[in-house]
Amino acid sequence: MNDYENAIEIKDLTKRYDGFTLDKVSFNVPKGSIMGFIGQNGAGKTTTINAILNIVKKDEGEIKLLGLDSQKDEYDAKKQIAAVFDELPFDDRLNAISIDKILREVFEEWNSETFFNYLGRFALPRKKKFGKFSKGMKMKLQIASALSHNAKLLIMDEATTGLDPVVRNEILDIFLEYLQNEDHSILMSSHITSDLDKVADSVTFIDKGKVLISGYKDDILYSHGILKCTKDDYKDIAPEDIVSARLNDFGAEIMVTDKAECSRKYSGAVIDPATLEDIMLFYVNRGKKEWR
Amino acid sequence: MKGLIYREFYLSRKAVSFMLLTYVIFVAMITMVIISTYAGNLAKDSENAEIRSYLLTQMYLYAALIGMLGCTYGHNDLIEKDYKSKWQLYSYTLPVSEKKIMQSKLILRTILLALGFVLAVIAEVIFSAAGKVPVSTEHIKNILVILFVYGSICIIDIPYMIIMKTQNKGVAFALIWTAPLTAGIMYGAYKFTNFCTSEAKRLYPDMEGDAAIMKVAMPYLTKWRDIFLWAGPFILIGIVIITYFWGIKELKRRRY
Repeated sequence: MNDYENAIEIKDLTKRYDGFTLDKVSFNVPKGSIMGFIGQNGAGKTTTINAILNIVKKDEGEIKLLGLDSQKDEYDAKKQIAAVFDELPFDDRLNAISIDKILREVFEEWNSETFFNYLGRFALPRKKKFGKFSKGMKMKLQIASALSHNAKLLIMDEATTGLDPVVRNEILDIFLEYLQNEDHSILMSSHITSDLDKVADSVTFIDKGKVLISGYKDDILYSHGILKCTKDDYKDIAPEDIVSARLNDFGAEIMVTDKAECSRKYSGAVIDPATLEDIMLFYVNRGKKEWR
Repeated sequence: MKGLIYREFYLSRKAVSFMLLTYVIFVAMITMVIISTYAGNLAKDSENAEIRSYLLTQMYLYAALIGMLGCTYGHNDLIEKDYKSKWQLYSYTLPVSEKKIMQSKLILRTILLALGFVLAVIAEVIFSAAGKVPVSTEHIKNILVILFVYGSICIIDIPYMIIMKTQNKGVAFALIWTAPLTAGIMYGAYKFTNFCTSEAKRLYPDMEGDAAIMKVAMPYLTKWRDIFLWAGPFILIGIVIITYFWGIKELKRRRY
């Protein structure tokens, strides 16, 4: 049994495509935590996840999963990992009973009882073909199969995208329940930041193939803020304090990276707490500096 | 690997069942027609012996094709469906190597092909029993030729489909290089027929029509078939080995 501190350790991960480069991506997912992996479409989330799962061959860098090398110890690592995608990867002609028969031969630690318990809990039929499942049912089934082989690490790529809020909440509750075991960890990529606001312990924000922020969610939310001021006051804000500024007819909303320091520096200015969505939005527009 | 084989079998079984049904109906129908040539309505026909002979010398070939194509058809389009359902991508997240994935595909396809061969032999046995003639070793040899030719194509189709992803694309691309090959075979057949015709006129001037031509052609065809029967197993085994390694290589290349 190998001992590890981080469920995922990524160091200088680089993957070059024509027109896109995943550029020295580094972050860790601490054991027993859930990390939100956010970024707009095309930012490099899926490429990073595919590299973690060794679906994509990395050009450079190191990836460790549960203390194991993602390439050398690929199959040992994958025994303890479950991947969940935005679409059900099972043929429409299969049903839950056949999936149980297939996956119990694939995963050494597959537990049929756990699987069928999840099906019961999600009210999923055993014999109905997946082709007749709704999107929510398909996602629940994928999660049921992901949680039925005692996986220590759950990697999800846009798993909650396209689901209604009720199903999303139900699924998020299951993730929190899964994390009750301190050996379990989750990496969850999403551009629905409200989900991550609810459940994530830490967040990594990627844009154009580069990691912009990575750390504990509370620290990130605590340090970032939206400074609201008039157009005249905006001119007095030091450029180094500004990530980017959203201008409107009445004034400006400025994303600042050090809320405490800025409230001292610009006394009288209103600094509202930022959400993950705000942070994503202002960082994505950082190139423009000013935007509407 | 058992799970992967089960999955491939589960997804192929419906198409295989339908084709098996077709096979059963075909064999039953032909058997009844053969019996009818001496114990039914066709017995009254003056050409009943000729009809029976025609059925006995031709229908086992169709039964062999239905059996072998039918058994493997459902498995042939599975790779395309795996791409569509994203199983192809998902399989890389499982603790299963490319070797195991290829082995599972090869094992199932070989089993289905073998089942098709057994069905073809059974059809020959049934037709012979119905026609009250002994099972023909010549027919069994011809069935083996079908097995080696179709089997090779059917097996190599696995890595080919991994590359092509869809059947439409696969067929379209195959036509590009099979068209000149077919033209070559047709030209060869044409030249051979011409040769047999002229030889038939020279050697058997008293015989009429195709009989003389067939008399000239048969020794050549039998000889070529027997040569192929020796080479066939080696070709098929070679194809299986090539398919295995080529398939693994292509599956690895899918990790784009």
